[in-house]
Amino acid sequence: MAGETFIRFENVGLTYDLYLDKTNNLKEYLINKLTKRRPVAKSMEKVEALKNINIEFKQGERIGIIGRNGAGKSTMLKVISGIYKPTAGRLVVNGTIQPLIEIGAGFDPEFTGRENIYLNGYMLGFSKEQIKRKEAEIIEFAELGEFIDVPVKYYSSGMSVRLAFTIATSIEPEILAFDEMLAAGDIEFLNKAKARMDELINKAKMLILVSHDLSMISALCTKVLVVHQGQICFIGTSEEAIQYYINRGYNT
Amino acid sequence: MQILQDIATEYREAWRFRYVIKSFVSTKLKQRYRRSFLGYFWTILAPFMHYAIIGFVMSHISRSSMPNYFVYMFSGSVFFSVIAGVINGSPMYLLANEHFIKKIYLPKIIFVLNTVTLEFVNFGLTALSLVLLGIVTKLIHFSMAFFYLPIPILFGMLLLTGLGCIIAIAAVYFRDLIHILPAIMQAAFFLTPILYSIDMIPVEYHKFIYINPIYYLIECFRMPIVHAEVPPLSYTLALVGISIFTFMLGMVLLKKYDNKIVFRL
Repeated sequence: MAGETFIRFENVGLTYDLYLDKTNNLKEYLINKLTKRRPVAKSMEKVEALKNINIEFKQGERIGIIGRNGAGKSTMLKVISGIYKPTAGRLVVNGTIQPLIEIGAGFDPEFTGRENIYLNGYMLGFSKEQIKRKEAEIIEFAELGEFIDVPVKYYSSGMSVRLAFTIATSIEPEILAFDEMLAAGDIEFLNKAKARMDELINKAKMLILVSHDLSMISALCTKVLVVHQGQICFIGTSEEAIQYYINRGYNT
Repeated sequence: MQILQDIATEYREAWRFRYVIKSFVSTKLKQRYRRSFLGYFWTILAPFMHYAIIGFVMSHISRSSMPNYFVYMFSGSVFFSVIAGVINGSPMYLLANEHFIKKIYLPKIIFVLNTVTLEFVNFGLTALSLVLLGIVTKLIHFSMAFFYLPIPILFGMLLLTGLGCIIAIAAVYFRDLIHILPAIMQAAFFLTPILYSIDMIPVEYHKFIYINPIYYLIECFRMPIVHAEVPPLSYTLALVGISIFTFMLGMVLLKKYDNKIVFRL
């Protein structure tokens, strides 16, 4: 069932500077320079978020990524989606990718719901025609009615979550990647949302799921990676990986 | 050259996301016009009233004998206001878009182009109606020199895109820039010959005008309108040189900090 390679990590590493001092204005900076005073002994720390990742994801695969908080799961997803660029090695991504890292990421609160549908769609790389075809369906599914022409800042949190979720799930990418999942909306919408999500997952040629929810991982994924301190320490079927994860005591 | 390739890639990516810019600009314009009583006329009326007051006071204080003082002052101020608009807004280009930068992939130049485009579209609308008003009232005379105007406008965009990048990146590290810049721009307004002309100040101070990059930008825009003549070649070359240099500097910085910004926001 594995087909062409969609994503290939070649020795990928990601290091960034974490600033320990809070000097982020010119005034303090100049005062510190002039008085030759260093605010903290060490003002910067190198953080190695990902180390030497080598892996290939192929068409048809259902990938799960598990690991403790701060292990590098979300960082991997952000590298795949292009938000972070690897500082070492090479990453090749073929196919359209739709990362659902956080619901409502592309919203501008000053814009109306309808304007946000377009803005969001464009940000995900879609054309006007493609969005136009989806527009009516999105408004209907999100149950917004006439609120669609009201600026998003006046929405209730349930409304904006419904709209964001619907927009995010209305595009059909080849690679579907998502982090945790939504937690708002009324019960009725939650059921609808789950059905829509399942449909999206079935249509996607490849799935990457980052989650703490092990039962969700074992239900959806066929291949699971365990990430620890920026490295992949186990690759296997979902049962094997979850077993490994629990035995190693990472699951705390 | 690796850096040139990177810059080209950034613009190819920006082109791929061009609809983001289009949608941003058209929505902002709609918001500005639709939700106010006088709509589009505010964009003309507001600066018109502002500069009419300054112009009235100045023409009395300085007893300027300059013919066409109003046209001179207006064309300079309107162009200056687009420059000041971009520069004063630029600290927020990246800071205000933190939620996009951290959660969605977009080439960062988009955030700069969004506002630069918006400011210039706005400026275009204002300038066009003021020029038409000038022609109707016979204060401005249409001439062939008008065909020179795209040059200061295009290079102005290039210059301000570069400058916008530089300031936007600097503001990520120095967040108080946003409070400092308006004061600097206020000083720049008076240091640039806008309300007065270069002939009105003593010759020994001219060198301070000649090192002011904004001067060339404004002068190249103003000359065709006020004097119906094309600026001297040296002015055009200065404008082109400064613009390309600033633009490239901005792009190099943007590529250099591209991957660092997201961790510092």
